[in-house]
Amino acid sequence: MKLGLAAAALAFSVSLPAAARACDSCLAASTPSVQMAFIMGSIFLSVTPLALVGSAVWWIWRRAKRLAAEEEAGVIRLPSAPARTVRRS
Amino acid sequence: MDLVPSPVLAMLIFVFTEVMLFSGFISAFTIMRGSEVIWPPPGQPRLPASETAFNTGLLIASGIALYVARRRFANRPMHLRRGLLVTILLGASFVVLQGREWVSLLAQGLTLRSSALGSFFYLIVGAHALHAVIALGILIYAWLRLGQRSVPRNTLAAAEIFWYFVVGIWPVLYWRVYLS
Repeated sequence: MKLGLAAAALAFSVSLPAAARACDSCLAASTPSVQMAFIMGSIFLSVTPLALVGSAVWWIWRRAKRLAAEEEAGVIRLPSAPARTVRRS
Repeated sequence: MDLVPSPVLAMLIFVFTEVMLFSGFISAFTIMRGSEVIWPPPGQPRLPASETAFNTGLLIASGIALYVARRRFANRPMHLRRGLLVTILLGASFVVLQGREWVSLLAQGLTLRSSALGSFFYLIVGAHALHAVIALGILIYAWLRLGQRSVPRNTLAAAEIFWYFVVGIWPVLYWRVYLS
């Protein structure tokens, strides 16, 4: 049933390509330069969040690895400075 | 010790949303630029790319100064404070010179309503300038607190991330807005 629906959808989109051209880069782009701008914009906006999340995961993974190594080696980290301290006289 | 301290995590999430905001601006600007046959639009001045290249250098230098100060003087607050001051001065120079550039462009007729270039220019560069001013405020706060030796390490790290964002996004904006 699902396969049949998928095949029907594919056949529909192949037989009526104009209906499938619903994205901005096909319809709103009047010139090749605008079309290229739309394509570049789509790529940029798709890749940026993936790159951000990817770098965050990589950074956390590296940090976890370092902290685990420090713990194994018995490194004791002192807490950071308190929020308020007494002023020097 | 926390895997990711709360101030750092909060700043990372904030910076991620800001990167997406600027990505949207840049994409919209690229599409607008692609639809224009004559550039800059008739009656509008050309953006001062060479002068801004110098400003860009100042901003990048401020990022490098902060990085070096944090790496070399992490455990020496007074040395770190000096590095932070250099960062603040370089960043403030960038903001002041950009302000001067705006005054000159306004005098040449590039306003928010004069053309699509003007609208996008002031929106994108203005949004960046606003971030730069806020980030400078945070750095100045950290610098003052460092003088009292009372700035929490994670707060400093969060401020550092915000400044790297301000520095890191600018070359992309410069490339797309000034050099396109």
